[in-house]
Amino acid sequence: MPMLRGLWRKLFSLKTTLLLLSLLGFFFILGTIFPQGETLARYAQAGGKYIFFVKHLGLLHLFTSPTFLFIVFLFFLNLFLCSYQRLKGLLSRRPRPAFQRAELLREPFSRALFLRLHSPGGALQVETALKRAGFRRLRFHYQSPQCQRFVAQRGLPLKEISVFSHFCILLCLIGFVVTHLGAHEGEVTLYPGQSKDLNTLELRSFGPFGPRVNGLSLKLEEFLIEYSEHAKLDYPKDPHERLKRALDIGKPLVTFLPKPAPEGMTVKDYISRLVALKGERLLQKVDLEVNKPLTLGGVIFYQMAYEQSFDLLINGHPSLQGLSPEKEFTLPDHEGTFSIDYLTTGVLYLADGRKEEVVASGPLYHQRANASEGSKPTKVGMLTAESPFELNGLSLTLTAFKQGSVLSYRYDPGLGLLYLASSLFFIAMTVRSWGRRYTLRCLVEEEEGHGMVSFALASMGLTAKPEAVMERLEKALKEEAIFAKRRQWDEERRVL
Amino acid sequence: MLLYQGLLDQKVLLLSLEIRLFWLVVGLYLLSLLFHLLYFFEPTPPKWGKRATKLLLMGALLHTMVIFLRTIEAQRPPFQTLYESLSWFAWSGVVTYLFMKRKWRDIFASGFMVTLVALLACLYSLFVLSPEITSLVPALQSGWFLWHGILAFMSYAVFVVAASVEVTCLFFRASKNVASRYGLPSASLGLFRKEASRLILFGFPLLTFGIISGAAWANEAWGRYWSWDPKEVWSLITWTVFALYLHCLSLPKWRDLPASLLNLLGFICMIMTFVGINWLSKLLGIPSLHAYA
Repeated sequence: MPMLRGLWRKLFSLKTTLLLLSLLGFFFILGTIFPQGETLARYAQAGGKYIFFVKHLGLLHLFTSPTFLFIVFLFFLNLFLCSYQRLKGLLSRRPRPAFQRAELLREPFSRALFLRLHSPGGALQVETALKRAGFRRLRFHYQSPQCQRFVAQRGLPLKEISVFSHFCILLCLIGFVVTHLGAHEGEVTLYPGQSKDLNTLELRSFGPFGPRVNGLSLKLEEFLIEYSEHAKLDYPKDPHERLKRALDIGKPLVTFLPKPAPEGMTVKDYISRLVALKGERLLQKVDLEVNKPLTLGGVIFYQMAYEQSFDLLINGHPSLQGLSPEKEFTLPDHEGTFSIDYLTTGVLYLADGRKEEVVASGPLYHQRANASEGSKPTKVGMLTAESPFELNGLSLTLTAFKQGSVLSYRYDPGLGLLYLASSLFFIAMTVRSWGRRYTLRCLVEEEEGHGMVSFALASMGLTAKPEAVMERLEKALKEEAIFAKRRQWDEERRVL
Repeated sequence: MLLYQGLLDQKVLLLSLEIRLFWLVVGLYLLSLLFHLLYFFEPTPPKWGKRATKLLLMGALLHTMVIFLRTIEAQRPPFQTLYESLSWFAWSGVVTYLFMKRKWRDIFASGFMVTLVALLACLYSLFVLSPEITSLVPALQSGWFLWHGILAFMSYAVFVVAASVEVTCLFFRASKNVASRYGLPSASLGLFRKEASRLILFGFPLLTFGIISGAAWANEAWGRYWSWDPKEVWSLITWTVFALYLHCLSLPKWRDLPASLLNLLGFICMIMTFVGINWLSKLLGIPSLHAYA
């Protein structure tokens, strides 16, 4: 039984928390050294080391491994029990205050004042002074007419807020579990004019919660890429040259080299113009962009990527159909392989504010047949849609160009809980760290119109200023004693 | 074409001015560092310390102008590229140190580390990185960019200053007789060390916001609030280490040297999160969604 009790105490001990946090930290570090979610074959192919240990210790799937999940479970248990114990402590009846003067005066922020008090009732005067200093009484012990004790507090309830913030971490962990068990994601590719019935998406429910996609469909009207004009910066790479230029006042440090399209273009945005329908009824028209997802029936759609397809006419004949960027192909009477990079097409926003349509064009690359491994293909020219390109007697024309949007979708039942729990956690933790609270222990020892008031102040929180509060307390107590003296004189004069 | 050429000429002028001012900032930080070094050899009277602080202040003011210029040129917050991020990081660290210094006027020792870190960051930017101003890529075009960036960097700056205070205290702990010559008699040493914990108490919520806002932003941009991306995980490691530090302060046996070591470990983790992960990702061939950051 003592062993069980010891083990029980260890479960909510702060030292256990330190140990568990350290273990979690260790796993996190390992997880940044080995690429998580990767297959062993691809890891080995990429030149990964220590294959034996990686395989048998499951280092590529650390965060879903039983060991890691067990540590997280222990952390959850520790956090829960710790928070529960602290909450129990806060809610339970506290023992009667029994501190003595010597004990109080050992504290760093403590004073003993000898004051004229209106006796009996000196304790009431002290309490009035404490109230004026912003304190409210928590506990009071009347030992005798000559001896009373107060515990008073001022400021935010930081201990309670701290417990609350720890419970919020628990809610976050629950949210992660709900995500792990219930979240589902996938991809859908749409070309302009195509629509997708959301019922056909691979989605699953999580208990009573699930996506509500009956009758909903999504249609792509247009996929657009926006570009902005970009001049290349001409600036030396050599550090000495950079310093030399900086010291050469009177000459420009940098120059810009305007580049023609498509080199002088950078992607500004990807836009999928979508129409959401319920049956035949239009629900909404929306421009889906990166950072502007669309929520439909509880499922969130994101702009993930795009894909292209085109045909290549050789000497006017439809020879190569359904090509895609970077897919290798061969040309008659030419050795090696060819490929066309992603075509640039969309709207270009010029630096002077004008807009220009960009006709689909992309570079043509050639890889020699006997090229060594790792050698890069050579650019042989730029192909523009519907414009013939001459290559060694062959006329190549890009045609039937199509561009589709790749949307990712995700259903996550844990998301709402996570947003709420993390926001509450952040607010509570910030208030706990930056707020302030003062706890005052006060001993009043009275004797015939005089009293020794001893007090000690403990503070919590970043913005706590115990020195200033001590001054304020002392001032409030002395003022109350002076008031008491004046009130007593008034009473004595009235009697006379 | 003429209008475009005019725009390019304006860019050349502004960027040249900005880079030259940045070099001047580096010069001031370098001088400040040298004066801090001289202060270590001749702490009394603290003339070298005072001069070092004045130079640091001048450098910070000029650095503010550089950042302001950058913001105007780029028409966005200036912490997209590594060049901009390092400049912002250096500036934040120096400003945080100067702010903390208001309370500890006679203590100059901790300025050395802050100035060194700021100087190294600025030198790396100027000598190695491209100062090119790039438009925001689609993934960065979000309201989160501003707040995630500002508060995360503010937390980094606070941790740099906390680490410098801790290093100073550890150094003088070992040689208490020397400490009083540097404005830190025994009574003040404990209070000065407490400043490190106060700084971490201030910076910890900022780091927490950085992680939470980063997760919310990732959810909006990529559809997943957590991908176990190396940068995300290192920020979590940093958070865990500082959480350990704060919990250690509650345990009497752990609040002294162990807590100090955790503070320094947290600083190293912060550096790893900020710049080390770019290097680690390249070294180990692990792709990171944060590769541009």
